[in-house]
Parts: sequence; C-alpha cells; structure tokens
Amino acid sequence: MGRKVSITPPYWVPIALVLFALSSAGCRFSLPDDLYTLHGMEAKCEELDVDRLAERIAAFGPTSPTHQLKCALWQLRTMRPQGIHQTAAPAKVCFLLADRHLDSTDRERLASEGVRWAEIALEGDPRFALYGIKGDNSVEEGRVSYYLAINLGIAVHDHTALAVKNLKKLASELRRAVRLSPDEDQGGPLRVLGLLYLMAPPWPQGIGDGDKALTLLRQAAEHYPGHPLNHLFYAQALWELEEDEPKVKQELDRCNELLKTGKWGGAKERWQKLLKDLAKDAEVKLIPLDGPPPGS
Amino acid sequence: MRLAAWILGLSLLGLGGPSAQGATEVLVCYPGGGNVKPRQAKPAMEKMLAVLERLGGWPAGTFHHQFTSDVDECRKLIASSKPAYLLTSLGLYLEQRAGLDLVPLVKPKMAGQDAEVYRVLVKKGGPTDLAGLKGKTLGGNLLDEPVFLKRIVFAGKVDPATYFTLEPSKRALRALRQLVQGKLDAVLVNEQQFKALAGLPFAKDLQPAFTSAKLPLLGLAAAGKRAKPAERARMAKAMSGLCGDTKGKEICDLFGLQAFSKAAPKDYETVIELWDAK
Repeated sequence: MGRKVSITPPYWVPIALVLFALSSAGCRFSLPDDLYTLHGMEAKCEELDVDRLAERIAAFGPTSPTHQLKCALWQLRTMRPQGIHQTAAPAKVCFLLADRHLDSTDRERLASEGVRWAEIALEGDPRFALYGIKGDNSVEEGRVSYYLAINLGIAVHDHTALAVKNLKKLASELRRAVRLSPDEDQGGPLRVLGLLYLMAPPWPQGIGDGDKALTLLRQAAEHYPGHPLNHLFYAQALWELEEDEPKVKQELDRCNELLKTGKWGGAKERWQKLLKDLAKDAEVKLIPLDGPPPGS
Repeated sequence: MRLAAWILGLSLLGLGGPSAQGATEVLVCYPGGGNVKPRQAKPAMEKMLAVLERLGGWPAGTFHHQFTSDVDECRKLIASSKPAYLLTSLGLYLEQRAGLDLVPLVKPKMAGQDAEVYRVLVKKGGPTDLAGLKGKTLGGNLLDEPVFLKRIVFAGKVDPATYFTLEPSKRALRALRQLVQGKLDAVLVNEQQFKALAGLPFAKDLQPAFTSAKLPLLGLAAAGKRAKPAERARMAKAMSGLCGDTKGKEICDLFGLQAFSKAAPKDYETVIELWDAK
C-alpha cells in the first residue's frame, strides 16, 4: 500500500470509486486504488497489537497528533486487523485526517477511503463479532453511519452534482446516527445533519429544511456546547434563515472563544477560516484570536 | 416560482470565470427567492454564462451578470445597469415589458411541465373558494409581487394586498407547516410545490380553495433596444442548446430542467392582455 501517484487523476476518480462502492455489493475488503499516500510509516510507527490499536483509536479526537493518526491508518491498511474493520474506527481515523487537510485532493482521498471503510463495516462479516464493543452494538452502528456520512460529505463537497445525487443517502445515514449515537464527536450527528438540512436545496427541489436545520443545530449548540463547530453552524443557520443579528454574533463569539481557548489540534486552522469567512459574510466583528482571553 | 427553483439550484454549482469591462449585462432577478444571496448565485450564474458563451461562440467574458432576489433592488438594477438580457419572473417581465421593450427569447420546460399554475391551499374542511378567505391570512414564499398576483394569478378578481392579510415567508415548507398547525389560514403554492406535497406527511390534510389558469413560463428575455435581433437570435439558439450540451446538461439535470425552447410572442398574449387591463 502507499504507492506513489505520479500523475494526479481527474478529480472524479476517487469520487466515482466511492459511488461505485456504495452502489454495488463490492469485494469484502477492497479499498479505493487512489489512496492518500503514507510514506515510510514502517520506520516511523510503533506497531501495536489489535487491542492497543483499538484502544488508541477509541481515544482519538480532533486534538490527536497527526502522526499518530497516520500510523493508525497505515496499520489498519497493512494489518487489516480482524474485527476492527467491523467498527467505525478506520472511518473515524480517515475523517480526522481529512478534516485537518487544507488540500482538497488529500481531503477527498482520505474521505473516500473513510467511506469505503464504513461500507466494509456495514457489510458485516459473520466470521467476526463487533470487536471490543462493550454495551449496545447499535451505538457502534450509529457511529459507523456517522463516519460514513461525514466522510461522504467531504468526498463530494466540491463536486456539487455528486453531492446532490448523494443527499438522500447522507441524510439517511445521519438520521440513523442521530438516533443511535447522538453523542459521537460532541453532537456530530446533530451538527452535520443540521448543516445538511441548511445547505441542501430546499423543498420541493431537495431535502433542505430550514425548520429542521434550526432545531438540530440549536440542539447541538445547547446540548454539546463545548464544540466550536456547533456554535458556528448554528450561527450560520440563524444568519441564513432568521437574520437574527444579536444571536448570530453571540454564537460566533462563542465559537471564537472555544477556538481560542481550546486545543483543537490540526483542524483548528481550517475551522478558524470557516469562522472568519462567516463572520465576514455576516458582518460580525470578532474578538481577535491572538488577543487576551475574554474577561481577562 | 419554477424559474426561481432552478436558479436556486444553480446557486449550488461551482466556480465560474471573470467578468470583463464593457461586457453585456445579464440581470437575474429572482423575487421570492428565499435566502439566496448574491454570493451564492454568483458562481452558478458565471458557470451558466461560460457555457452559453461557448455555445454561442462568444469570447469568454462577453457577459456579466448581476443577481438579486429583492424586487425593489431589481428595479434599481434595471435602471442602473441597463441590462441587455433579463432572467426573471413573469411578473417582472410584464411590469418592465413596455419600458425595456422586452422580447421573450426562451421558455423552460421542467419536469414535463411548460406552464405554471398557482393554488391557494387551506386545511381540509376549510373554505372551498376565495369568498371564504376574505380577510384571512395568506402565507408562502410567492407573495413578493402583489400586483402580478392581483392582475394575473387572480385575474383581477381580488387584490391580494387588501383581500387577504399577507404573511410572506422565505420558506415554503415552513408556511405549509404553519397552515397545518392553524397559524395560517391559507398558503399560495405553485405547480412544483403542489406536486411535491404528496411527499409530505400532512398532504392529506390540505385542499385547494383556488386554482389559477395555466400561465406561461418565462426563461430569458432580451431588452429590445440593447440586444439587436441577430444577437437575440444567437442567444436564443445558445440557450436552446444548453440542456443538450454535456456541461449544460449537468446544470439542467440537477434541477429537473428538460429543455429551453424558443418563446413566441403569442405565448404571452393572454397575460399581457390581463396585465394591461389592470
């Protein structure tokens, strides 16, 4: 794995492979050909046994070092550890890596791989029970749905025709994730489904629904107030749908404060750009990120 | 409005090219367009114009567009930017027709329909005609052009601005939910919205109290004094080829646009008569 790509394929290649995988039964363990390249990982990574790898991945989040994420992905690809591929873990690793890449090609490659891992998990293998799951298996199914959807959303984000074609699948997976694992990624299913309802073409052209967007994003911001994107996306919905300027500013300021005071690892730069772009569109003046913390 | 629907859909499309000084102005007025902002429509319109330039054999950057979803802003832009082409609603076409010498060039065909029908929906068991709705609240996202509604949709029978209490919304689905909840007495919908009701859980709870005549759709109109006949014909031909072009088809397929066909003056005779009758 990790062959060097010397010619950049057309943008649609990884996307087409994703869609092919989604639409067909597919080989049980086939990943896209055009994978994000991981160089020289064998020398750089500590090789973990399956149990430790699963524990490490379970603890991964936005603040996890990129190197550790890459090592985990490398090991998942090369070891294909039995059982872990039945969980959301590989798709989660792909998402966390994709989320911190500014280069769209890298983002799409990682996200496309994440989709395929999620599909492998959903296809199920009767030889293996869900690995290392304590408690309710359906929570893990919810997680798989979440990471399938969020990776798919990233993979098709810049290809609108493909995005529109996949809207119903995105919504379906996210609704399952909201039902089964709403806590994942600090309200991730609520946040992403809410954003989908906000951004999608509105009824009757598409599944866009302002009422649902506002409800879900408000729930995400209120029930999981520690994640900056919950406030950012809620602010976006308020601005687009309600034009409630004071509330928009309140949510943007909250997002700004969380980004400033929290440790968000590799994704922080990209999230800060999203915040700045929305603040500019909404004509909201933010507290400078390099200034003193509010109240100090 | 069906035209508005596909323009909104276009707003999701990707990036376009630059505009040039001295370019021919294409004004896109999308009243009732909800929350479509110029920054959303910009890349979509640039993409469409780039395809049209190629189809019509114009150099890149021949056309420049401006976009608004606000009716008053549209009137200001008509005066200031002096467009040669107007992509707009039937209502604004009728309003501006005489002053700009507007010539309809093409009309869209969407989801098998090439005409528009408006309906006033009420809760089942409610009024079965307009008489029962006098003084009642009327909602929906199609209320931005009350003169058009009076003269054309209601064919002069009622003036909606005074007959109803208008409660315009940017979101059609929200208005329908409010109707079902009893927060509105009626909602005005177009043909596309009416057909899509079947997919909503509360469709069986609603019924039409009024149905308009079939009205023509408008695609693109040319300002006769600024776009000469040869150029108009060239644009009409390019637009007619849009959905048959590989890149153009991508735009058309996304929004249920089957084709653009040449518009004929007789297509609009009836509505022009209604408009001028006041």
